[in-house]
Amino acid sequence: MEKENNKGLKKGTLKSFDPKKAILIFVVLVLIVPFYESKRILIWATQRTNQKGDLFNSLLVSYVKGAERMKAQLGLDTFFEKEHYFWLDLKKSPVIFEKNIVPPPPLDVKDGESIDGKVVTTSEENEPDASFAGENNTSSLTASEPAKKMVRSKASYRILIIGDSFMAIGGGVGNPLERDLLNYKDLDVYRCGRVSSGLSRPDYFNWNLKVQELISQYSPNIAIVMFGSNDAQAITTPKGKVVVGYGSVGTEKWNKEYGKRVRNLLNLFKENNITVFWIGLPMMKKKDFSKKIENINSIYKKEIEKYDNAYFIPTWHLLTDKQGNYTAYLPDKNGKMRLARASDGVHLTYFAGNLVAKEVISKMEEVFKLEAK
Amino acid sequence: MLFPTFEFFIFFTLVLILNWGLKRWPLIWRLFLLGASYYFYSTWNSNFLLIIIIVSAFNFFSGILIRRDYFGKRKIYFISSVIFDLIILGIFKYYDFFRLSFEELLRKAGFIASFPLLEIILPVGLSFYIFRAISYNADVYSGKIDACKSILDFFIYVVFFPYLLAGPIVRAGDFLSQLKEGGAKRIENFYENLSLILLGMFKKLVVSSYLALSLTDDVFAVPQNHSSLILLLAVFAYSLVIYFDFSGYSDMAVGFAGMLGFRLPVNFDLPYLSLNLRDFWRRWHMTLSYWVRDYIYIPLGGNRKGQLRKYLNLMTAMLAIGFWHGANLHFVVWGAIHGIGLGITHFLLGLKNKTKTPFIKISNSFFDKMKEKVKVFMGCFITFIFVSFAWVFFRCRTMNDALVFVKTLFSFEKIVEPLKLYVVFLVIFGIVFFLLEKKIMKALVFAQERLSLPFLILFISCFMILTLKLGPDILPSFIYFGF
Repeated sequence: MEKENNKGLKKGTLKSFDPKKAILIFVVLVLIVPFYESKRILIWATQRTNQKGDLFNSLLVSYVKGAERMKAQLGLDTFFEKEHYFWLDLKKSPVIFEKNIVPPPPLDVKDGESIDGKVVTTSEENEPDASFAGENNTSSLTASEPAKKMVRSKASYRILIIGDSFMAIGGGVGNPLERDLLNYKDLDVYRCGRVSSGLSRPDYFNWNLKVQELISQYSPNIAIVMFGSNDAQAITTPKGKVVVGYGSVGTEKWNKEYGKRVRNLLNLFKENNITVFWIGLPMMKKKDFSKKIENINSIYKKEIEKYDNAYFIPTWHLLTDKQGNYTAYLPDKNGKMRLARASDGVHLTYFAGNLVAKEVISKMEEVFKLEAK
Repeated sequence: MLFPTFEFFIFFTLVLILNWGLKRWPLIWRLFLLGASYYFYSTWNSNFLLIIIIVSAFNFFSGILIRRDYFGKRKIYFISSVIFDLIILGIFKYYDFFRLSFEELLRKAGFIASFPLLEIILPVGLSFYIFRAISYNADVYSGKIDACKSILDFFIYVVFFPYLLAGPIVRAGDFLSQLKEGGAKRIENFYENLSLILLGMFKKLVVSSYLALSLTDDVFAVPQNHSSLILLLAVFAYSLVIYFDFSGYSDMAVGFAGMLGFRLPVNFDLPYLSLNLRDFWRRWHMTLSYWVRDYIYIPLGGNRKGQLRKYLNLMTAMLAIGFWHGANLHFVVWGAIHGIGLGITHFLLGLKNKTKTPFIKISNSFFDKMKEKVKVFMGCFITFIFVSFAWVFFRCRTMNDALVFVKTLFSFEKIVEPLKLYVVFLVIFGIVFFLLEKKIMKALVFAQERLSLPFLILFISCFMILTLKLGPDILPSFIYFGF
């Protein structure tokens, strides 16, 4: 046996290393790092329901749940929570990640002036939980508070596109929609999509706060919204407290809470005179999941009907076959069968995205006088 | 399971323990490696396992038939194996492209035909393991290597999880010998491997992900909504995104394999510091470009059949690389741009050789040194600009999108637009990081070599936690998983 120094190296060489020490390093790492990052892992892991059944994912979740309990017992949970939010805040900090050299888009109002008689503030004073506290407490955008920063495009139609992976960059609907809208005159588009987000899990991404921020930044008068594909799960508060558990998806309690979330968002748009075009979700490949999505669509439809500034655009039958079943292929205008759905049976290809975009724009043309370039 | 995830780290730690623990029983050790790799692959989609097992089995037996030359028909065995591999690749990767093309062709000829609509999912890593399989049979056919006698070893070669999904494209001759007699007994270059894992994670999670999420994804999605200046910035930023994404993955693959006692070939060598396009392809995705050189360019005649044929072969090789990435016109155009660029480079280098003036001449005079430095700088600069603009065709989803991008870039209708300061910072950071990458790597190795075990663990933990903290909340998939 060759002699080794205290670093596991063979004497006289820096090249060869004892595997036992490598194992020790990895074992300690695999205990320390997930322990430290337990909060974040818990958010990640429970987001990805498709990982269920993965042995290592289950192991990880069990371990970090234990780590969270241990932190609480040791009284370290406050420290770790503060530390978690410190990094989140740092990433959002104006110095590092959100600073604009020039405010977007071109200004036609000065700071302190009002837009259409409505004074807009940013959402800094908001308590994270406040946006879900009640239906009437959806927004900090009030008529009496002084404006901190306002930006408004000169265009008549200032369109905000928001949503989950369908609307995010690279998503099947957002890109064709934004591209097609730009073919119209007197119109500006701002898109904000977030993968894996929705209205159920504001602890992961708080859309109410984000929408308030976007309204104060871009003062849109039209919003195109698409959510729901990640929402068939537990509903939480922004701080991660479970309001309705995963097992209750589709029950009256779940529907009621989810409906409240939808109303909160719609109220926010209503208060700011924004016309909403809410895109419904298409049929999904997995039948169980599809049922849940159908339920979510019905909640959207029911809630949207209560608002005169909101329109629901169903896509269910747009993307099914003639018999109303799920199909991965749809005919194009020449009758050629084109791939319409991604391999996950959830997302859309650009071909299907184009169909949805056309549907949305056609609905918008009924409401507004959009003029092609 | 993606490399920079906790699930993978748990999986890998378990594999690491059993890998070194089972080496005294080589058969069990190899069975374990195969099982672990199949498990890893099944976490993507268990149906993919069947395809990889069929491909492995077919190519293993083809190799034996080629080597033993039954009935003197080794050429037929070899061609059959290549055709089989290409059919598998064609069905899973190019079926829809061929279906639509044939339907269109028949329609023009006056026939109405519709081929079956197969809802095909591209098995992740397919293009990579098909290339490994083809190279194996080609090497057996040409006599470079002997046919693998152990079906177990060959199956491991096809599916070994560190390089399974996105390379490097390892040659059988380099890998199979590492499985003999329980493989390596100790970890060679431990600190280099560890540094590769840490740096690879940082490159992907921090540098590439942020650049993609905050600039390039947005700009490339709808270029007409952005100014020429932003488009230009996005072009250069995408060069960094794809480099850090892919080289980050490759670094981690080499590092993880190294921890298990396997040596994998390097895939990148500071490609944006290439003096010319020929140099670039010797530094970018090296295992793919060497594969194409050895199994397409040279068999076609390489540069041995006259100048015109050489350029034609170069173009064919680059078109093959383009098509390998996907059956879309924009990939083919990207390959063609590189083909033309390489043709011009070879022509100019040929002229230089004729005039007997080396590209870089060693001289002692100050002005000569300066002149050489300027030459080197200009060479790198022009190559980088060329490669970056070619990436536009690679990155855009369709040819039409790419043309819109180029048109908007040069329209200058909207020259400036509001820009987030941190985006500029990220691009500058990316460039500096790229330039200093080798030095950072050396510094990491240097620091780790001098730390005692507890401090080493502390150092690695801090590095990993900081990388995760700085990384975005979501982990975008690796670009090359799509190929």
